[in-house]
Amino acid sequence: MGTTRIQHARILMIAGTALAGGLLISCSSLERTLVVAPQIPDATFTGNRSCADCHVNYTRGFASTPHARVQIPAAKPVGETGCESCHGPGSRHIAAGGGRGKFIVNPGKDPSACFQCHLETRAQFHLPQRHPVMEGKMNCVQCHDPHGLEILKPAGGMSMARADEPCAQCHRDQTRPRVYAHEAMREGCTACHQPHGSINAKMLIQPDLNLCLRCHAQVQGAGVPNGQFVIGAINHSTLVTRGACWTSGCHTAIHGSDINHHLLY
Amino acid sequence: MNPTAHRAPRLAFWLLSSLGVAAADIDESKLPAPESRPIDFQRDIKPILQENCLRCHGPERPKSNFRLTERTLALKGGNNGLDIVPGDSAKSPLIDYVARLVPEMEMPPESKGAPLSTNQVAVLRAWIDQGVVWNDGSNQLATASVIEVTPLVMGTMVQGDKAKFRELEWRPDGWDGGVERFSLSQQGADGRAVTVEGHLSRDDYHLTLDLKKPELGFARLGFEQYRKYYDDGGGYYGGFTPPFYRLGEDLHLDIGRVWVELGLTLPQWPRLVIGYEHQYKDGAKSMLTWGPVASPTGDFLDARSIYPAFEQINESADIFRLGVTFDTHGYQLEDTLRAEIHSLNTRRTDALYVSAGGAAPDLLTVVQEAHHSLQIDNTARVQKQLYDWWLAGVGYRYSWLDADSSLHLNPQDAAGQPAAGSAWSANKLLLNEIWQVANATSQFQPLRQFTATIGIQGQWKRQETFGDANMDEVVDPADPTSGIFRYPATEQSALNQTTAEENIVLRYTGLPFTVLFAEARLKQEDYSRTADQDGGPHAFQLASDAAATWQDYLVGFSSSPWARVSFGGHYRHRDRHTQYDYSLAQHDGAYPGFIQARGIVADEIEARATFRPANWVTATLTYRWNDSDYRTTTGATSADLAGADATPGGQVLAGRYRTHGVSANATFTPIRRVSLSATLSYLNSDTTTADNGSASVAPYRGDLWSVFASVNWTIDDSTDLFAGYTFSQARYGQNNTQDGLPLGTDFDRHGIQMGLRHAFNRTVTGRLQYAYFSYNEPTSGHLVDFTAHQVLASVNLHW
Repeated sequence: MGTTRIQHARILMIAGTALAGGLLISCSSLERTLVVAPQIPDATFTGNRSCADCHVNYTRGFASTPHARVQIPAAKPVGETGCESCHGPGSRHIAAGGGRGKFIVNPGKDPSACFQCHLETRAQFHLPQRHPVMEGKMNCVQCHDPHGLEILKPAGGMSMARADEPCAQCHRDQTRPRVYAHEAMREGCTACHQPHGSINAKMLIQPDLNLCLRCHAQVQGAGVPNGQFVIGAINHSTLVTRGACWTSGCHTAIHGSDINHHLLY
Repeated sequence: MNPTAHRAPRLAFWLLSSLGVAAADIDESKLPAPESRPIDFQRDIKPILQENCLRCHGPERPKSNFRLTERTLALKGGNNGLDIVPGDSAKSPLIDYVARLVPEMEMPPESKGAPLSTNQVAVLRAWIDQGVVWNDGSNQLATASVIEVTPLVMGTMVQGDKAKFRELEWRPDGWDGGVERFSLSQQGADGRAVTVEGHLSRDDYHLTLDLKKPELGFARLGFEQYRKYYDDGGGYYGGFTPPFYRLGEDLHLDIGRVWVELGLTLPQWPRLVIGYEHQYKDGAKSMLTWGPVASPTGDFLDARSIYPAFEQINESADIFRLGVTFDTHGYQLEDTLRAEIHSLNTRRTDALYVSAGGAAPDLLTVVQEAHHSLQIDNTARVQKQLYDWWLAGVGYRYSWLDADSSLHLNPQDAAGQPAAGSAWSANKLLLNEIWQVANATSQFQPLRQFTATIGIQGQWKRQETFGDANMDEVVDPADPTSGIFRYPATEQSALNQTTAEENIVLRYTGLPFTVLFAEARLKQEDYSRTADQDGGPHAFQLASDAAATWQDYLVGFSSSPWARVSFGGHYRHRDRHTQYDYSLAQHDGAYPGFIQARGIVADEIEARATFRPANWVTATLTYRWNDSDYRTTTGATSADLAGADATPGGQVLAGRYRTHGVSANATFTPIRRVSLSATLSYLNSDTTTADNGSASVAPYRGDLWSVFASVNWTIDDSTDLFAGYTFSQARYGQNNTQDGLPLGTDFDRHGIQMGLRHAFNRTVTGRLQYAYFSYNEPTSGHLVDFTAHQVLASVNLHW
């Protein structure tokens, strides 16, 4: 990162902190408005402590989770900044003696609660190439653990996640061990793919040569004519007119090959 | 009734009770006298139980395993023994609890509700003294039975690219029908429940059956399958005729699974779950391994790869799972043993050459791969609240994988006969992988407002592969003696990888209505790799060591200083660096063993604000900025490979990726019967690389807009109208047509949906719906555009 960008970031942080400090002078014990909690007919907010009576496995480690960043401990009521922010008001659920999905919102089945905050993610799930969450064939918790120390599965609870495992549970062919692995796989699937949705086929971040050249560009020698470029020891100037590295009929084994170290097949 | 909190006092009470001390300490004279009138359960008792008891002692997860849902269960008592002695309320502990005569055992607990009135206690005493009559008809306090069926019929008329419609909208065109949803659920007061749910329509099935009996177990069975559709087109290049090709194939994958899961949930016993799942994918999907088409001049060097490709897939995975969880003495123990048998067969067809203007490939290659593996892994975790301020957990995972693969490349001509080209094959490549992971995490809360979480994780992985291959090059397939250059080869590789990770998460809530947080996630990785192919035109040997460090820091806050305003934000900095050292690199080119170092530095700022100026309107605004730099250091190439001074080596700013994203959402409920919601999202991204000086490599930059809006109008108690609009627009088109293949996309996509829902009575609700879809993509010459109209009618029957 350049010096200018560091300064830019610092200025924004200072300004944000100053704004926060100013606003904090005026505090209130009224209802917080962090998110629009899901609605449950005739139900009212009860607060986090009621949830902890039964769901202690989720609540006792919750302070360590990424979602705790937005769990503001308001004096009263705490409904809209705690468990009920995502699960809806819990009074009827409690009155019914609990039960899976009984008068309670399960974001695992319906992503609406997640989209109250994750607006950008919601937009991605509406792009032409996407995982079918909006179509109801997948859900957020298949890949994410909203109550875990790490947001990615399969960690669970206080455990730590392992990169790419959420992807590998369905995309075994792309993540399986190969004789010659593509080094980019070490960066994780998200090095090249946008897992929520993309405008590009196969949910790629970029559909063209830029995706590969982000890592494979090199200093061009004095012997390379203007407008041409070499990758490795091969002049690719003509080859890249055909398209991207993996669409041009060359590096088709882009996730790794069992037979060719140039990932040609 | 039984206690719900304060474990230490409860434990003390159990001990005292077991010694007969508690009963002796109760002063019965302090109990209200029982009512003398006859007690009616429905009129007198049921309201007391529902309002004061069932939230904790209902059918699901009752406190201390004590249920007040039916007479038998109430008399059975809970973990503390009998709570009700029919005919003798003075000897019934339940009365002592509700009369609040037992310290730390007051029912309902202070945090759960107000104490019962003296009169209510008197009524309960009379009820017990009169024999605990439970005359609510079914002898149960609550039962529920719901049946719901929603038949549906719809028609979708598409004009334009039907395959593109199916791919983008995840639905078939033409007529469709079935059951949009059906469910049957029945639950008894003792918690026994049966639930059947599902839907059934063209190419989309889902059925689940859940059986549950509290304190015994459950059974879950299910089947689901859906279809993923693919367009059969390739790339688009306006300079050619034709500029676009189709395979003429109906490409789709059927993706499904069947599962059964049996669980044992006996009280005080470990929870045991045995499961089996069969997953599968069957069909064909489009691929991006497009084939080159020669230019009209006939110059193959000026070709563009736009001819489409596809892959047939037959894949299955059989997964067996055994899980045990057990809570004992404050320890939460969990162990999962899992075995997976994976089988994959693919057949991909890639065009190798299409002559200018040709309708089909003149030369293609068929790539057939097979992969079979067995993986067994076991994951064990233990978690315990050691002290009020210390929650600790450890975990260990061992994974073993054994696999074999095969691969065959067969070059073919247009007639499907063997042709010249690479005819590589490997009949059996063996792969073995052992992977171990261990971690330990602790959550400390030394102060009520401060939480610190520290986690460390170590991973060790060893991977080995070995096999024979034939790297044959075919010059003349008709002459197997001298027309084929045969290159038998041996392939082998090995990887040893050690990884250490450290997580630190700090959270402070001491400021009013504010959360401050800071996180650091660090990773160090060392790995050594060897690879060897001892024959063929691409023979090589490589031995490398690499050291990678990942650093990820995040700091931010969330605050809601005013009741109607909340806001927050964070700053994140990521730095990944990998250094390579090659002790051996002998091959046919610069790669592999060429990149000496890689680094990625990324900064991100995210800000968020939510406003609720009035109770009927809420607005949220988010902004995200990201800037990532990619740096690569390579070695020098020798003159005999690429000509003089192809590259002197050294570090280059290989790429840069920047984004700005703004999203806004507003929800209105101006009047009670009308609700509106609208979301706008905008993203600007810019990717540049060091090679953008080449006319073939245009920067990838553009804008992306998304809009969603919906309105619901409840006209009266039985009728409501709804409408929705979705829109997305991308402007990522590129201008490198002359010297390359523009792959950036411009498109406009619209979706409109409107409908009417009317409840004819409590049982029957009808729905009529119309939807319109439109997709317009000028960067594909409008050859994949479509418009579609969809009409849907459904009837919901609910008993």
